[in-house]
Amino acid sequence: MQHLATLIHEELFKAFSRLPTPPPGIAELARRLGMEDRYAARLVELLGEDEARELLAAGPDSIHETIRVNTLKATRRAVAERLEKEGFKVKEYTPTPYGLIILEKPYSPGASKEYLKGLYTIQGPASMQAVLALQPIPRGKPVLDLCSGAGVKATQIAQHTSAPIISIDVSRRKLLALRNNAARLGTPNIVAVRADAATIKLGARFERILLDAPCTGEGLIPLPRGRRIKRTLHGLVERVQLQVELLLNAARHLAPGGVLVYATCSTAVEENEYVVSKAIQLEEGLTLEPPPLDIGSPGVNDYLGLPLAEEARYCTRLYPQRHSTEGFTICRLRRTA
Amino acid sequence: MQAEKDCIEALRLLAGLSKCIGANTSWARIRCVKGRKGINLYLHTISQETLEILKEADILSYGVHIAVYTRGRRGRHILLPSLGLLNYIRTPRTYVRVNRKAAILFTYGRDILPEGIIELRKPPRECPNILPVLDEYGEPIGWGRLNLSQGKPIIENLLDVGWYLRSGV
Repeated sequence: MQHLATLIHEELFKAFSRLPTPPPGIAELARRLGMEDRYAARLVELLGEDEARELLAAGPDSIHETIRVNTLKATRRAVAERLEKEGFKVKEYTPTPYGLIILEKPYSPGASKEYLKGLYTIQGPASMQAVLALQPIPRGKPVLDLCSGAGVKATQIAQHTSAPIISIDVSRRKLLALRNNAARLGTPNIVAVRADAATIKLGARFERILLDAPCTGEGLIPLPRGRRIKRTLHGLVERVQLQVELLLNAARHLAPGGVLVYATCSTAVEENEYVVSKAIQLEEGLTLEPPPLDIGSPGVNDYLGLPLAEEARYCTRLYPQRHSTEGFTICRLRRTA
Repeated sequence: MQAEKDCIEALRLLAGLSKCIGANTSWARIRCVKGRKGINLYLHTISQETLEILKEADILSYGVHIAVYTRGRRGRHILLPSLGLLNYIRTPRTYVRVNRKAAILFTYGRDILPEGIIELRKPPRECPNILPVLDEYGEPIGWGRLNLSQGKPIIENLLDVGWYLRSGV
């Protein structure tokens, strides 16, 4: 593993050495967001100057505020009508079967009686796509949910399948939040396990695995919480090293023919296409395939001279400035052998 | 051994409470887990095969937390329903239905005064003095205890769904 971490460090910093100085306007915007100049230069390399500027200047209003209706308890229409009565204005978020966009709100949707009764939960528009990309099997075998956090996606998986969902996270506090979310939303099929997803060894292989890996949160730049994070190239490389470790361990638990969705709330190529390319290179029998989604831009397979797999273009990228979602990347892997 | 006895007793009390409040828990499994405050009861549909995979793991919760078997104020063991059990109420024999204003106040931790009550079905003698509080839609928003000591019914707030926000977790 140490050897792999060193290799990743070398490959990434070699790529970063090719970055030109960012244009003055971009550098200034980036500094305001606590970003190193060269960190911002990556965005110009990926998106071009105009779109990079648009991304860095994007605010919370550029992203749809969405909720996910808990279809285990109510229909999308019923919840929409109930919220309209409370003074909200909502409309269907069509790339999902249960999303609603909040157009106007008299108060926070996280404080309504409907939320507390578990009729819906707060979830970003891009975040909902990761579970749709997984296509859980309705009455299938157990699903493995790695780095589950407070279980927002685990409870979403439970809307698709009655199969057991094994949610793993290293943080006890987050798992307690998961326990509360499962009670509020009424999902009896989630088991919360405290463990390190990078090293855990389970004596089974799974047909569906979701890995929502910890990341730099580059996709959350338009949101206030995303603006508070300081971003450096060293921080980025450390994240990538962990992500490769997590994905390799997840892949070892994938059954033949099984699907593993790797997702991050980041649009950094390093954290996404590079990570899955490394996993394909190191773990035999893994391939990438396009996620079955109705939204998004194709993945990147040519960037800063990094060794990226040809199929990395099958990843799906979501951007605030293009799709009105938080920045997100979703890659769907399958074990063929 | 004691934990096993406590679990059996907790399950017996749960069966009694479920009958009174019209909760259907028989379709799933119930698991007892020793916690800091007593025995936690979880309702879950996780197969034995899956639990076998996790036998060495540090499991924090199974499905939905529905009750805790703990020592009450007078030292007696009691079963306190938690918010998760509200999901499984179907046809309650005992309940209180309240108006919109009382429902909002209840979710802020307040008791329900007589003027907020639309309909009250008192717990029969064989049931514990715990009843689900239903809002104007007839949907459960928490647990209350009926207090008749003032002559008029007051529903003391035992636990309400606002706890999800107030708990900070």
